[in-house]
Amino acid sequence: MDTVEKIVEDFASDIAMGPFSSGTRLRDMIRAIRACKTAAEERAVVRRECAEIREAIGENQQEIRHRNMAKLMFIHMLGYPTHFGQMECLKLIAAAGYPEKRIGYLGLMLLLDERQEVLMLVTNSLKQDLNHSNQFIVGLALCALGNICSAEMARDLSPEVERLMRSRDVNTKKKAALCAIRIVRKVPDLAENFMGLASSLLKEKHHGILISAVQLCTELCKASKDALEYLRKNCVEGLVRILRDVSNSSYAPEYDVAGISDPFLHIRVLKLMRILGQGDADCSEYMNDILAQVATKNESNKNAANAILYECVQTIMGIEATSGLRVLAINILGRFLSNRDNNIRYVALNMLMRAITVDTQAVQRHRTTILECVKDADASIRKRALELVFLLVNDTNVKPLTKELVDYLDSADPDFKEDLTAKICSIVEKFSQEKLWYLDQMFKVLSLAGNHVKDDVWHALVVVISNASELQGYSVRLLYMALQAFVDQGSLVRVAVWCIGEYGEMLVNNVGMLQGEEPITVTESDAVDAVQLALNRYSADVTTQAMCLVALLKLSSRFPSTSERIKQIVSQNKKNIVLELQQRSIEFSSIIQRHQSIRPSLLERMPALDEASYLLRRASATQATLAADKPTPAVTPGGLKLPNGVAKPATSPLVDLLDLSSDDVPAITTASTTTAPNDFLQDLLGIGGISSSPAAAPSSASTDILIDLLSIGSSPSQNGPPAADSTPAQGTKSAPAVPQDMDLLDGLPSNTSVSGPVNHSSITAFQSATLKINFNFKKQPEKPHETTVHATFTNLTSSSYTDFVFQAAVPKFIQLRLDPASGNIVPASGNGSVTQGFSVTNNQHGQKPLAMRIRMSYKVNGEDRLEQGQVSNFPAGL
Amino acid sequence: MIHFVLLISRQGKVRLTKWYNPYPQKERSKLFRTVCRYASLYFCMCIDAADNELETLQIIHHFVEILDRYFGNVCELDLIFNFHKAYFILDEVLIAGELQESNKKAVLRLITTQDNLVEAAKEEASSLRNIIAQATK
Repeated sequence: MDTVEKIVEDFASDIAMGPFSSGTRLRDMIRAIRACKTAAEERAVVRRECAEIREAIGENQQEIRHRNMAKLMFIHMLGYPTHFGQMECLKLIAAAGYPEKRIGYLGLMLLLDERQEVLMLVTNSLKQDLNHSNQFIVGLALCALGNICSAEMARDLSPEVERLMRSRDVNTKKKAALCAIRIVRKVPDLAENFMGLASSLLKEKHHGILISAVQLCTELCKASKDALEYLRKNCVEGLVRILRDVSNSSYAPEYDVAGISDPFLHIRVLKLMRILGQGDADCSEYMNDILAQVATKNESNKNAANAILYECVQTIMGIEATSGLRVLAINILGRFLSNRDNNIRYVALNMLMRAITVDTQAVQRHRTTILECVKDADASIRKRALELVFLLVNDTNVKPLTKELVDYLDSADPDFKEDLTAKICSIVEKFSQEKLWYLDQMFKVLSLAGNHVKDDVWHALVVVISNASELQGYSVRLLYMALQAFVDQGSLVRVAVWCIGEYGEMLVNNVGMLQGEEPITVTESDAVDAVQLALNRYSADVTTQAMCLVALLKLSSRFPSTSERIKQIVSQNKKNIVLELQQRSIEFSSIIQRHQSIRPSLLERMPALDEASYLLRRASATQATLAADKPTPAVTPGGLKLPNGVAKPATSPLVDLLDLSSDDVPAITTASTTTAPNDFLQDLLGIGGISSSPAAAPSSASTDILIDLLSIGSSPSQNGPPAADSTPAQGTKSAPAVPQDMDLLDGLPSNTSVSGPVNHSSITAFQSATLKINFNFKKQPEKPHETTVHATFTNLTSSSYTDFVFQAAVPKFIQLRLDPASGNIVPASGNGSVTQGFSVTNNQHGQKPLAMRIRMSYKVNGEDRLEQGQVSNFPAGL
Repeated sequence: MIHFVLLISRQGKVRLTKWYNPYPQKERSKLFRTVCRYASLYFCMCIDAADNELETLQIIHHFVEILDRYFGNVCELDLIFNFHKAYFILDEVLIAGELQESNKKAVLRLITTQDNLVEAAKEEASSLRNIIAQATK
């Protein structure tokens, strides 16, 4: 503390200007600020000080200008506005004395940057100071110019800087060279003025000048092709000499860092060599020897040595080096991987990632070490290593690498499991040569990290299993056993439940045993137990529960003896508060109980999915997800994030599971739009938007029996009667929410038309030069807050719109549900139109009017178009 | 190139900031940063993704060593009450976000010479004041 106090005293006397000054001294202000206990107190002190400084500025008190500037800088660092002091900087700079200029320039650099207009006023002072006889004043001006000059100042003062680069004083020279870097960055056209000067500075001995000149050359190469060519011709030789000299120099205490002479100069020369050697065989050839020497010489555990090696490796990988040199470079990185310093392992992984494109084989040789880094204690190293391993996987090493990664999955850090799982799944999918291996790996991953597996991954697994008829028995048995041990892994449970439902008889009868597979004894009731266990365990997960219910329904047909028990289990969910589950339970009970005749054909095993088209759709879905960057919230069917008419990507493949053309369900062909199959498949597997907003899901108005049997959620009811918009059920057995479905199942006529809807007038909701949108409104008298809107989209141009998508967003007090559109192509010149229905529920009916923001995206001749607008002309009373 | 230098205390107080670029927020994400902790201070330098991170650590170390020699075992209080000195030193180490001098002693010599210039000017001023004071007595 004593020394600090002393320095503080010194400083205070340094800043304070003696008997003429007034107000607090800088030291006192800093103390006062530090003594503040709350932010409010601090603000008060700063406000008081600022007021005093403003007053002093107003009275033009020169004696304390110096001290006030220091105070302002401190206040600026605390984050308070100090713009009122900017002119004071200029006054200090214009003063004659060195102390004023020193603090003035510091203030200029701290309080101003090139964006401020005030800066232009300083150009003249700078010019004068650049011509000053005192080298330190020249130094101050160069430093300020180098740190904050704008393009205009760069142009104005460039000749002065050129002149100063020829100065005899070493400090002026190096500062001028660095200043030139800033000038060239601001005005690349000036690069050619500096290239001759820069290359002549490379002949100097002073390290400060060399470092500055090398950096200037690097900047010139970036700024101008001509400069790059010039420097290639004129300074490669000089650079090699500098590097050789510094590398071979004997001990020089002033430049020594951990036994190495000037690592900074080393690194900067290596960097410039990389730029000059890139794509130039002659230059590269000339550098090979010295690079080999640097790469082999600097072996040490010190950071400085490793920094040089690292730069050297980058240069070798960057230029047209010999293959031997490249192997040497990659081996250095391999050595880095076993270094104890985290930073060094990290940069090595980064570099290896780039080196892969140059020489995969050489990187492959360090696979084992890289794999060890996946298990590193440091999270960012693990992440990098995993990415690198992913790049290293190929057909020959995929099995051992996958094994290593899967084995590690068990002990991996929980935070890391998600990344690791995603990468393993990706590797397994990409490189699987045989299905059995793929299935085995996936089952392992599901067992160890089933909670981290993404939906599309387990969906793909289901697709594969459905196609591999010879492995279905094996899969269901393995999954059944895994389920016993790892019931807490969500996606394992889902896949296992699905397989048990589909292939239950293969489980109990040991059908399709593979060679070497141990037979297991599972009774029919064991299989039901397993599903029931999952159903009870995952009470919060609607998707899993829905899948369990479907599996149970299927088992009731596969194992008639368990039918009664299953009916009881299913019935327990009839009172489930989640509408989806409640409805399923009611319908499924009904199937089990009353529709014995159609049950076997209805519950047949799903036909195999089309794997190729699944993969295609999945790939495009991934792209769509990546592209999905929506600033405005869009409300779409089932709470999904995709617009109307587009199926949820992850579930779209499952369409095929219910093979539409199969003759056991002829009724299905009446599905009205292309989205229909997606929707009910979603429901079948319970993957849809159920879990996201079950209460908002309206019941279906469609008369399609299959849709009604299996789906409740978001099945298509494009222009369905308003009765479809019944409110969620209260959870009673005779739920009014699902009258139609009940009717259908009970074989009663399904005439649901209640009192006719009230037609409101129609409006033109949106009109541009290209597109017109009309809204027609319907309302039911007993539900004043609900409105059914029928939108018509008309194309006003002469070219048709494809991929037309309508999206809408509403304020919080309004609920919106979009039905699928009639199509996604809007014909040209109003020759027909696309229609789309949606319903809005105004929860503040009578208080606030409807309002809606809409967005239409479409393609014209393959080009994306986007239009948006706001609809505020809804008729009153909606 | 170094885009900015920050010194932040463990309590999150800024002790030194130096910007070598006018800095739009959106560009920050493209950049890579190197943080190094000395005692209770964090040294943060923002560099280009292609720059040598290990060398940047070395530059931080270089700067700290110079501060250390100048203040004699530098501590946070030195940087609070003598923040301007830390800036003067930084200006002798970096210009335009590039390294200026790898010789620590040379930097210290330059700073000392300039400190002496200030000292001399101050003495001159005070002797002038004395003369004026005596003349006006």
